[in-house]
Parts: sequence; structure tokens; C-alpha cells
Amino acid sequence: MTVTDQTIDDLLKLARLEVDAAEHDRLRDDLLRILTFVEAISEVDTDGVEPLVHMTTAGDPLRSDEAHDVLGKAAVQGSAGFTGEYVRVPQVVE
Amino acid sequence: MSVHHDYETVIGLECHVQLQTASKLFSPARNRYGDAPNENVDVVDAGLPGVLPVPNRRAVEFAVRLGLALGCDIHLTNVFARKHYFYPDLPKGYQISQFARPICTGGSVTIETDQGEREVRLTRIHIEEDAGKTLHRPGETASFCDYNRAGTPLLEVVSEPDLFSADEAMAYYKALREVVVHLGICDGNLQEGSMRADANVSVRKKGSGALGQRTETKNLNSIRFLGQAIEAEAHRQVVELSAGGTIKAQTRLWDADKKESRVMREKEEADDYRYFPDPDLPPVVLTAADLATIESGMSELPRARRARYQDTLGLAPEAAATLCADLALAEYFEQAAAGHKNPVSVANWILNDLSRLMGERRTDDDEGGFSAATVGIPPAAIAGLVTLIDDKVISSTIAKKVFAELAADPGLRPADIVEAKGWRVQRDEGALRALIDEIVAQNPDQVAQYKAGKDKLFAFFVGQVMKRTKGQADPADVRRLLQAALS
Repeated sequence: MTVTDQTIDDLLKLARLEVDAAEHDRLRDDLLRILTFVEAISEVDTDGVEPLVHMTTAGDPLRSDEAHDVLGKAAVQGSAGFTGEYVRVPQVVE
Repeated sequence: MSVHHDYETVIGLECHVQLQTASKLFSPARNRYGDAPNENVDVVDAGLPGVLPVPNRRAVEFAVRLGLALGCDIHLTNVFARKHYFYPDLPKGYQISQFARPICTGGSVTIETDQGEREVRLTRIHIEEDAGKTLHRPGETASFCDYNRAGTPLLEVVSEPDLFSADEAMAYYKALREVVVHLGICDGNLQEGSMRADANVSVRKKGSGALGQRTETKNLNSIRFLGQAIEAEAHRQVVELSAGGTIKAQTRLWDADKKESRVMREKEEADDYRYFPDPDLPPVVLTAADLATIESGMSELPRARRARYQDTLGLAPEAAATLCADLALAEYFEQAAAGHKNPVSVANWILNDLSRLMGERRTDDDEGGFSAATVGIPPAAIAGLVTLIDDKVISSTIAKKVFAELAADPGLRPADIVEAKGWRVQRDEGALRALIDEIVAQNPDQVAQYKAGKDKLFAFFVGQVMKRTKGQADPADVRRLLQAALS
């Protein structure tokens, strides 16, 4: 397993994060340690084992399709850009 | 444009079908178009910390309905996954979708082409939540988000690259729309964005088996725009390749006003959405019994219904198609024709006189479709009317008058109207013969002209007899006796 500076750059770009050089190095080394630790699992032979996607296999309880009154605007009024009607965000140019 | 003949277009479509549920996919907020901005937003839709999504049973059922209708493999265990990207109309920073284990794979959509019917293979159908809407206002230095649509349920229907012209792509879109509307899972309202397509388009030299580099044109919300965007993109690619250029992987946006597409983003590297199973959502687990229950509640698809009307009931293709284009009209016909020995005539009455009446009585609530309540006349009355004609109790001329009576008072039975008005066909042949002799005697000029070869005058004599009998004579009897009298 290798974690290069490029790996960290790619991840930072995907996460829209900026870090300084020292933090960049620390993240790279941490991530390598984490992956090395997790790699221990590859010692187990998993051929023919169905991947486990969740701890429960009972299935998700489903909700009946009923609409209720919900918070509405109150759910977004905490956003810094709430105008009382819309949420103002930095301009997105398509 | 001659270079175009050397190339063929290959298209795959991703169609987003908005489900007409009452509530959202993972929250109880209303799934309703046209409300005031940010009115229908729950904490789950806003992506507030600590909330848990709970899937909407009906959305899952709708996915199963579509999967059954299109012959897909339905996966009893299917898994919601997170698809990560940043955009202001996606509050959580990820969209809940399905990835490695979608609810449906395979299946096909049947399209009508110039060469007849063809099956367009499907890759998959998966359930996902929609994002909110971002408004861009001219002159503003900010954008504005409305999260009413955030979290509303969608099915994404992904086709194989099995379409070879803009016309085929439009036929596919129409066929898919017909199915989802018929299944009652989507209102099919393209103006309101209830169906949106992304078109993957590539071109290749004819005879080449390999696929060319494709581009993706996003958010095509009408059948016409879909066709125009594909034509334009295929043309652009052929021109580019013919000039020795190459096609780049791009996401493009169609500008319906300028009728051209522009680059939205270059896809130099594959999108990295970092999909993984959503830890907040255990797999959806269905049983075979669930599927059977859902299937038993499904109405017959338009294509199967059309075939049945033609093959079993003997209707002409146009009549079958017109009836099946409107579910309410088809159901009215089904009720009227149930057990009737002349479904063709029943269909004709519904498509002619009854549809004309519907046109006269249409209200704003009817939204262009047929409504049994608006016409008022019950299906059984149409059936009864046709039986009276078939049993020669009344002539077709009288039948029109009976229909007018029914239109005025839908509570009446056709047979009662005929009795009350004394409209039964006259079977007294002696009286009819005497009347015909009288008419022949009164019109010597017409008789002479007819005998001199003016055959068209026969209709004049039929008309005279029908007029004098107030339409109550059997036209077949009239013709037979007239021929005898005039020979």
C-alpha cells in the first residue's frame, strides 16, 4: 500500500480542503498507517463470501407514504444565507 | 452532409422518472411541485446533523412495478449507497442512490420504429433522491437554493447503447413515458420536469463494431429537445471526426433557445463519487410475496392492451390505439364491451358519438383526458344501445336519436327510451310496400331519371322512405323493397 503526496492532493481536492505543508505530510503518514492497519483483514480468505454491507441483515423498516407537516423553512433558516425565502449561496456558474 | 452517410449514431439514455408519492423518499415532507420555496423541507432533506433517513415503502413499490412491467430482474435485496459531490442544492454533500446493488437490472423497453417493434435493452433501474433547485438570476452575484425538490424520489432508468438515431431515442422516451404514466408511478408532466433525460451520444463509422468516444448531454426535459440535442451532437461529432479531430469525454448542456449544446465540464478523469453503502440505511429486503402483491395491483400495459383489443376483440389498430392512449377511456370501453358480442361497434360508438359528447362537455378539471363522470352516460347504456341495433330493434338512424336522449338524461335505459317513444323498427312489410309504391308514384321524374341510369337517385328514394317512417324502417328492408319497386 502506498500513499503518495499526489494521493493526498487528490483527496484534498475531492474534499474541497486546503492544508499547509506540515499538515499535508502528517495526513500522508497517518493515512498510510491507517491503511496498513486495515490491510490486516486481507489475510482472511474471503472467496465466495457475500460482502457485508450492514451489520443487520433483517432489512430496513420501510415507512408508509404519508406526508406530515414538517419544519419547512425553519429547517433551513439556520443557514447563513437564508433570505426568508431562498438560501443564498456563492454563485454557481454552469 | 454526405460524410454523415459514412457514420452511425449510437445513443444510450439515462432517464430520471419523478415518482408521484405523497411524501419524499426518506422524509415525511410533501412531494409536491409548485409550492412556495423551502416550504417542504424536513430536517432529513436539509441534511441536519443527527437525523436518520427512513425509506418510503411506496417508492420501493413503484420501482418494483416498473421493473415488473419492463421484464427486469428484481433484486429482493438491494442497497442504498452514498454518491458524493459538492453542489449547493445537495445539502448533505452526498446523494443517496443505489450503485453496486440496484433494485432492478436487465429488462427492456419496446419501441416502434419504421422497421417495426424493437426491444431496447436496459442496464438497470435504481432508486435515488433528487437534489434541490438552484436559481441563477441575471445581474446577481449569488445563486439561490430552493430545497423543496431535495429528497423527492426518482427512478433512474439506464438503457444500453441500443438506440441508433434521434428518432429512436424519442420513440424510447415516449414508450417509457407511456409505461410510467400507465403504471401510475409518474405524472409524465415534462414541463414540470417529471421526466428528464441525459443522452450519451457517440458516432462511429458504419460497420465498425467498436463504440466511439461518447459525450453526455444533460437535463433534456422534452421529447423535442432530446431529439434536437442528439441530432446536433451527432452532427458536431461527425464534423469534428471528418476534419481529422477527436472527440473528448465531456458533459454538455443543451441550450433549447439557441438550439446548440455547450461544454459544461471536461471529464479528463473519471468522476470520483466515492460510492459506498449508506451506513444509515440497512439493505431493502423484499420477499417473493411482496412482488406478487405488487404485481396483482398493476394494470395492464398499453401495448399489451392494444394487442388484446386487436387480436381478441377484433378492433382496428387505430381504434385500439386511440382507446389505449387514455386509461379512463380504455376502462370505459372495457366496461361497455364486457361480455358484449359486438365490441367493434361498441368501440365505434365510444370513439365517435361519446367522444364528441366528451368534447362538448369538457371542463377545466378534465385536463384533456376522458372522464366517465363528465359524459354521464354509463357504459352499460352504450352496450345496450349497440345490442338494440344488432338485434334490429332499432335502425342506426334511430340509434342516434336514442343517444341524444341518453345525453340529455343519462339515467334512462336505451330499451326504455325506444319503447316510450315507439321507435321500434316497423316490421309491417305490407305497410312499407304501400308507402314505397306511394313515393314511387309521387316522384315520376326521379323514377324516370333513375331508370335512365342515374343510380345515385336510389339514395334519394331511401331517404324519402326513412323520412316518412321517421327512421323506423329497417334500412335493409327499405333497400330490398325499393329495388323491387324500381326495377
